[in-house]
Amino acid sequence: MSRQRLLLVACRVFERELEVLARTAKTELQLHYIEIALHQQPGAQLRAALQEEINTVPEEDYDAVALGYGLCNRGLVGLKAHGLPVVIPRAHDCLGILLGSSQRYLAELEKQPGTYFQSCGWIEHLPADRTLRPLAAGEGLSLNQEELVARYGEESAQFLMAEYAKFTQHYKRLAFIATPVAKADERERKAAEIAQQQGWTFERLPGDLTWLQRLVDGEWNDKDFLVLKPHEKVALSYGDGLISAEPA
Amino acid sequence: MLDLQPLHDAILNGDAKTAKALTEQALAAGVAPLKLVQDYMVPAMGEVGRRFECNEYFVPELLLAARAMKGALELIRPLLTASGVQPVGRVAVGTVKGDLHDIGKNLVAAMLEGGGYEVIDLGVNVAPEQFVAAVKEKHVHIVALSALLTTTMPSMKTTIEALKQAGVRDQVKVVIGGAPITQRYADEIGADGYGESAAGAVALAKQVMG
Repeated sequence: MSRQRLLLVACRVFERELEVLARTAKTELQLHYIEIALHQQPGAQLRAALQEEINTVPEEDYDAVALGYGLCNRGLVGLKAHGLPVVIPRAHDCLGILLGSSQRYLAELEKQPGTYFQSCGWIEHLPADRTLRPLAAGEGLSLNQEELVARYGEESAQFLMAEYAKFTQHYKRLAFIATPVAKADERERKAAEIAQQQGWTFERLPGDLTWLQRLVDGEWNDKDFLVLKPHEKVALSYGDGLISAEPA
Repeated sequence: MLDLQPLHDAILNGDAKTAKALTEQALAAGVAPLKLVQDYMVPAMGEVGRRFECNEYFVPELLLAARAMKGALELIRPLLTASGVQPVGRVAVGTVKGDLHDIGKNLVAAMLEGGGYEVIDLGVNVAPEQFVAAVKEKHVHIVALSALLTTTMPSMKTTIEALKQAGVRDQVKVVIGGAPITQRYADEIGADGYGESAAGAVALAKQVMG
């Protein structure tokens, strides 16, 4: 039997982990990354970028498209499969995927709601000024101080920076999801440094790449993956499955 | 007759200093405090909301407009209280259990205050029992629940269930909002209303209070 030909369109936050997993993937895997920055924009932009990818896949070259994304707030809702099936992990976001299950992710959040998660990918792509941003930031929230001054003037920019800084005021713990990738130790040290600067406790959580592994291996059980058939779209299901398929 | 359109514009443009100065001038000239709120400040915030909805304004503009409005309101509120003007309604706001993100919730609180509501801010990570207590003890008309993440939105459902169990669900309107929330989710969990953005909070509050 020939191997399944899979195009994986993934957030660059998973790049290092996928590099490792791709070597032993049971599918004939092609990787395509989308920049993390889109995640910082309202969901509509991420959805539009992913839809464009899905619509322009050379369909004769693949058997399926997989998305290396969680629900990412509501970023994937409304996304439509074109001529190929589209496989999506039933995950809230990248953090649950890197922890190996939503159950574990939710348990960590329950233990300490004030947890700011980081991973190798997040640390690698920190903004130059190293400012932490809200996970679901909208337009304007991703501007740095200089850009804010240019747009709103000095005094207003200062007020806005102070307002943005407040978003981290309730965090208590930085949890670094450690995965076995290149430069992992260096990334972990940087994460520990950030925790210290912020006055948070630091905790190392061993990552679990089995969820991501199953994504690249084509082992998509219904519990952890949604497989959209051609001309179906993603809907929120609000139950255990998180997302479901609907006629487009 | 004092031209107060610049007060409207100062709030719309997020110019806190000018908004405050113009409010002082207007009050000194004997303009009725309630008139300032109803004829200039509420419409200004309404326009802020409209611009936000059509992507002309973003969160920074909302924060700046809310600051300008709050500054003006601080001057006006004591006068309203002294003259016996009652708030339009009383609203308890908070982010639901497990959710610590309050930029949106704070904006909603500011919008509602600007719209003449008394706001009881329960803060972040608010347990269902605390919302129940607010209904029982503070006699709020509306409970407004906020969640930023899909991981915490199920707490909205448990909060509504807690209100039912405590037998107070009928006494209060529940409105919900936050990045992952939709009208469909509001319908599914039996909320009375859904706010797509903080900017529409006052209109939503009016709508559910009937």
